[in-house]
Amino acid sequence: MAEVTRSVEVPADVRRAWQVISTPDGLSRWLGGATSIDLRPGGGGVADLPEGRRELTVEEVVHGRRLVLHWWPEGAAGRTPLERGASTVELEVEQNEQGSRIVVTEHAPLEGGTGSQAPQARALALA
Amino acid sequence: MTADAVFAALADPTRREVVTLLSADGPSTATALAAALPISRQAVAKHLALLDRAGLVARRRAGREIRYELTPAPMTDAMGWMAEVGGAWDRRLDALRDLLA
Repeated sequence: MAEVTRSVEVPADVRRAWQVISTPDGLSRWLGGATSIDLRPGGGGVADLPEGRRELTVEEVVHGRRLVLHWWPEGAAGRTPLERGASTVELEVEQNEQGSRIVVTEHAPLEGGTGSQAPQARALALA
Repeated sequence: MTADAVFAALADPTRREVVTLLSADGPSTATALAAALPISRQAVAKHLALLDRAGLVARRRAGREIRYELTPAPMTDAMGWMAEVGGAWDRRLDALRDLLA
């Protein structure tokens, strides 16, 4: 329900765009840090972002078109992405007249994460 | 208390009305809120429980009554999440555009 969406249009063709958004080499260059990814459902990876290191797991791949992954702060406690407070990132590539359009949507972590976002409010209210 | 829970809590117009009433008039009981809304006390209690789970209200015992108080910090946190994550994607997509220009 809480999500952000951004998009960009580029003069490159879909095949090139897909390569850049789905390979370790491509991702490393535009995410801003060394990124590894095993591009299949359940595949793992790590992204060394300026915002901090994240672990990731691939949810869905539609080659040439769509990549869905969950990511969370490296070392977060929990046995599942949900427990680790993972957010979900959807990357899609589509062809357009000028080349390609890339759309990204990141969905906020769902309830159930142990890495919570606002524990202070509740703690203060119960004091 | 995640951004997702906050938005889900605020997606319902009656809950938004409860939040508005608590914001405007201060802490209130479920009974008093039900009197100001076209729904039963039981229905108000359900909405308050959901708002409580989202961290948006806190329960305080006042004698034999339970009063509900708005604790809006999670809303700010949810907005903060959107601004922060949106900003991060803006930077990343700028870099992506440069790569594919």
